[in-house]
Amino acid sequence: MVNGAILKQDFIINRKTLLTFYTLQFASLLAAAGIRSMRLIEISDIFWDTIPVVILPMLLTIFLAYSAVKKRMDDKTMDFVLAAQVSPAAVISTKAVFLLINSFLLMAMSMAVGMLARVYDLTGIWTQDTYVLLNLGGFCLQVFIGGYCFFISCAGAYRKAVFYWSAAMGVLTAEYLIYLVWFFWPKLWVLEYASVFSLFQQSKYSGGSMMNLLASLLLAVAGTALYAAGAHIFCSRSLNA
Amino acid sequence: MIRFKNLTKRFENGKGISDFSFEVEEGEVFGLIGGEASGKSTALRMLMGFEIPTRGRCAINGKDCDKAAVSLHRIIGYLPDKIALPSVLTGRQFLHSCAQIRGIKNLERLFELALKLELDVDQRIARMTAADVQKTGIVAAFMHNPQILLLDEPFANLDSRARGNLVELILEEKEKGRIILLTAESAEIADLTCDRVGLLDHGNLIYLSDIENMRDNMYRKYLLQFGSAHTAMKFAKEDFEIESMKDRSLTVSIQGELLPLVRVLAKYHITSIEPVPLSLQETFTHIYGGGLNG
Repeated sequence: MVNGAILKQDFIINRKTLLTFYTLQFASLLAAAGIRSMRLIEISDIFWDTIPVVILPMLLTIFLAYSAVKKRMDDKTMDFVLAAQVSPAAVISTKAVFLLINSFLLMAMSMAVGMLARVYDLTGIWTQDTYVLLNLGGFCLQVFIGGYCFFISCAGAYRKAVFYWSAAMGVLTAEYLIYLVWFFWPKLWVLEYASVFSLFQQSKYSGGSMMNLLASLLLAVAGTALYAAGAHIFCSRSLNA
Repeated sequence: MIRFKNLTKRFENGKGISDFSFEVEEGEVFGLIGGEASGKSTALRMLMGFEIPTRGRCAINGKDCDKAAVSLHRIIGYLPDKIALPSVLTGRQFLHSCAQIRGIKNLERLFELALKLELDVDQRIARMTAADVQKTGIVAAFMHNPQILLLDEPFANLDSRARGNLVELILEEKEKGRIILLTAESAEIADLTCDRVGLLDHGNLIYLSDIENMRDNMYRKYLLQFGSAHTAMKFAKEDFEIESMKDRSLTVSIQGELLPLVRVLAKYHITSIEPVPLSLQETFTHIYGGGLNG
């Protein structure tokens, strides 16, 4: 179902975006390693457990989901691809695989660099195993985010770009802000249930809890369902009805 | 052969096409003429299987375009309208990736087409003119030597030289027995290549005729510049409809054959002749005797 030539086309089109995100990811981990050697405990975490695990992969996914489907519909590349004797199902599955591969590669690369630099062991709370578990959970979160953005990109293929950006970037940023409010003011407990980011909660992975991974797996399942729903909408050809 | 049989597509916003029934034979160039949202692109997208008919059907070589879309794409070359293409790629990268998706290994035809259309494929698409982007799309549509060409506004954004090259290309394909269905916003464009035309108004096919018939009814305007105001004044007394006159320039309108005008003009000192573009309303009024709805 995956078409190698379409996958290659998407990589070529998005090569600059990918390079930018890999550079930012690497810079964040370098900063974490620097902070570790300077023993600046207060600001250490954000550079290895938040920016490379949640923020940058999320932003990359938002950009790629837009670029792979909605933008290609707008510039008519999608029409040329669909006219090239490839079924709509194969086209859209390839786009979904493209998103998943990039989320996975970005996180796998940063995890490998993080393990080499031991960015996590400043306080002694984290181990290599819990760091791997954190990244696995992070990938599950990205599957959900990718599924959501992919769905919006497919459903809004014939709408204006502002629809995608408000539904993807707007909603996810709002969700993350809700999570941050709850994180800093836990007394507002009701907010815990208002954000998908509370299900992930990177700080809880330090205990090696499998329950957290289970919650993240739930996100991955929901994300996979959203990928399938987006593909179904795309193949039903009722996008501009 | 392309066949539309009572084909209807209705979108939620009320637009679409209604009850299309006509056929396009091998070696024929057919033009669908209509304004914005008249249903031209919808008709082509339905032939591509990109839209599901509300009623009726369209078929290519007897195969239903909705059900056999993917297999039919092997023999179809499609140019969508208003193409932009990925700005970060060069023309070569875009065309190469299209060829790879189609499984084309021999790129000779691709470069031959680019040469014919005077397209520099090594330019970045972001830096290309609208005409070059359009040419890139045309190369992508023609590069696999398809039996059927569905071209949505192929002449859009092209200057007169590029139009000439494309006309040549379309006529070459016609000679090879290909079926070509193209859309245009003006009858003059369709007149360049088409054997038959259909006029579309708000999704309805209101006029279907061969090009000679259309030419007989066609209304054209020309801006003529004479050597002197005196010559222009003298020409104004000839038996032609003069729309306007200023100094040594005048606009003349003519319906049907051009020959009588050319014969008379031969007697005068003319410095330039320029066609004046007509609105679709004017074209429709003169060709089929009615205006556009709405």
